Amino acid sequence: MPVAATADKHATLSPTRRLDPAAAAIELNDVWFAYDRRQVLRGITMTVPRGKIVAIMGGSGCGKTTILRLIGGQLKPKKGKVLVGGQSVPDLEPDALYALRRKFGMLFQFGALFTDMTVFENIAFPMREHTDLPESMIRDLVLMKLDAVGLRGAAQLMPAELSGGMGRRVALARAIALDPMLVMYDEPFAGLDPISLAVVGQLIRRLNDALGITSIVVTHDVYESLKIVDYLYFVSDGRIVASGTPDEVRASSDPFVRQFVDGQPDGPVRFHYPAPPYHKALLADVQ
Amino acid sequence: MSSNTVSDLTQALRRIGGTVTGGVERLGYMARFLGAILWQTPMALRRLHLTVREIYFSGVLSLVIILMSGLFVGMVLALQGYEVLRRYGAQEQLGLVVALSLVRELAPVIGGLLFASRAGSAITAEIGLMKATEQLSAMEMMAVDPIARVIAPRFWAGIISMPLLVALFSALGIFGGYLIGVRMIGIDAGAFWGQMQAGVKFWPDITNGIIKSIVFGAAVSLIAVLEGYDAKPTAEGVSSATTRTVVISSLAILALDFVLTAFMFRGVGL
Amino acid sequence: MNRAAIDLWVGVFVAIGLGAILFLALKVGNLLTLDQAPSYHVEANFDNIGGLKLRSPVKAAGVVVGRVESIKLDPKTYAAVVTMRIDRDYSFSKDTIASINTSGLLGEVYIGLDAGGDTAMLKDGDHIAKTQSAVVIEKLISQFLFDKAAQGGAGK
Repeated sequence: MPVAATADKHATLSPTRRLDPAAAAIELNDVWFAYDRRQVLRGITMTVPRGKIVAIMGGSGCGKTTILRLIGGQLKPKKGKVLVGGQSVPDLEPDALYALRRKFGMLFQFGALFTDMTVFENIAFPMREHTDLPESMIRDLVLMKLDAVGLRGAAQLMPAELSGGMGRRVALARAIALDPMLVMYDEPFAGLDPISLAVVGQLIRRLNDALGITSIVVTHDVYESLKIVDYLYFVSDGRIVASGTPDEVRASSDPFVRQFVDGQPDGPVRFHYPAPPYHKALLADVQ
Repeated sequence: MSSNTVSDLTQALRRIGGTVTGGVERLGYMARFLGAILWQTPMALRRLHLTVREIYFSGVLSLVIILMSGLFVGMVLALQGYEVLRRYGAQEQLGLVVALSLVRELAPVIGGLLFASRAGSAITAEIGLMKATEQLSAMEMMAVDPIARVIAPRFWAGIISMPLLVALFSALGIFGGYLIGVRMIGIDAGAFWGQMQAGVKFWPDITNGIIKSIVFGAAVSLIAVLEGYDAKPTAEGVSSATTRTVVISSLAILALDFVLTAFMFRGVGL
Repeated sequence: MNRAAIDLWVGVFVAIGLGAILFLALKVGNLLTLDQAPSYHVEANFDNIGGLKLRSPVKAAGVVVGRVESIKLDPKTYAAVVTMRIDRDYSFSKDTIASINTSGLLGEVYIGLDAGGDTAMLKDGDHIAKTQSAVVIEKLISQFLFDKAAQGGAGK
């Protein structure tokens, strides 16, 4: 399989292994956050151990992306702690925050490639900004990253010329350009065809293991997530309602998890948006 | 008075107060934003090619509309000016009239308005779209300050491009005036250029025109980058930000023009 | 658009922009005028300077030979003291007459110099003795009316 062949080593996974908080790379402790008056997170507590892939799942607008932004320091929580490698992110000085961000990689929804640069220049961007490497070395590194995602031949294309799947892969290559310690994926599977879905999922897994990085995947694609992640957190209404390894999740009897995993239209997440009783609404103009 | 009208009144007053405080808040925000841009300027200057690229997109691509407009405005000035001057037997002054009108007022103002609609709206749309597609967020997450890399080059490109475009507008306008006045109507070329040279003084006329163009350039550029940076990351957000850029820039140009003209040309006779 | 092409176009743009500014400064304005040439200063007193302003031209036989540098009021004689800057290439005799004229009916006000026959020339800091003040239209009209009234009175 070509994706496996690009990895240097094959990591062994034990899905039933308990995650040890002491070795955690990322830790959120009772985090509360609100956008203006809308309460988005109500007391989130989660850990992401070093070297593992953790998925954060939930319906649209439940705060998954907000969690990523809190970890990245773009937002500050109202209450609670956000720790990365022991450092409290909201309390960092701007210089320290920028230094921390250089160790992160992020894959944005739909790629967020810089549209006025070629694929090559997009991946070279973080290298040129943060290192003093000579152009020849940068060229080699960029080609290596592109090769890892299978797009070495597309180096001179513009982002507008890429298909969705290709663009996502280029964004992945850019996210790992500086060999980060943490990569965050915001909806990496959104809008992709089945082949690209499988490719991106496998790349996330293989690169995580080959580079020894920690990954957080925010998504609502259950099928792909269960295939590749080590642990899942389910977020609903700003709270963590369920968590577990893929096997535990598949076997879970929690109604929310079941509705999510089985894709049932009605359950803890209601089908009907709150409204007054039906017959009353129909008879409203009849006295 | 019924309680209804009282509450309507208080609501109207509250809205007026809100608009005023909102406007003042916005000015303060604009000032802070300008401060951030100036702070990041040395870093932006290290990547000179970024600014050069933006000068291409703001300045070079505005050349066509500026040159054509300048030419037409100059020609119309000559036609209208001739009609009026003829009544007082002062046709020989046409060159002076065309040159002064252009250099002092029309070139900076019309040039500024055209720049705002062509380049200003393009800058706002581009930055707004970058915000909507999370490119600015991506830059932030990669520990690159988008103000240094995206905003500042576009700001300085506007300030550099404007005086050049306005000078070209004046030059083309005077040429257009020459075409109509001398070639078409038949005024003596010597009188046309001679009266112009005698009457147009480098200081205050031309230098003040240049000062105006720099001030307008700064205003338009600042408004354009600010609206783009602040745009809501949706299609409507970007489009309304673009419209706001053109409207607010135009008003700012006209208001600043009044203030600058009052200061510069106080007590200077012909 | 590759980098080289952009640089080229920006270079062209800046070049023609600066060229336009130069054109405006030289051909349209009067940057390269007497203001740069070496000059000397001469003073003259007038009862009335009319519409004379700073930087108004100083002409001899219609040729611009200098500019008005400063206009002050003498507190003792209540006469206007005008300092002129004259191009060093032109010398005028000590008995030159300085008069304030208007070019045409609505034209600009300038100082006209009529050279005399004296062999001694004006030097830097000298004073022009003979001057003719500006013709103020109102005084002319009131003079005319006064004369007409006197004539009419005498005629009756």
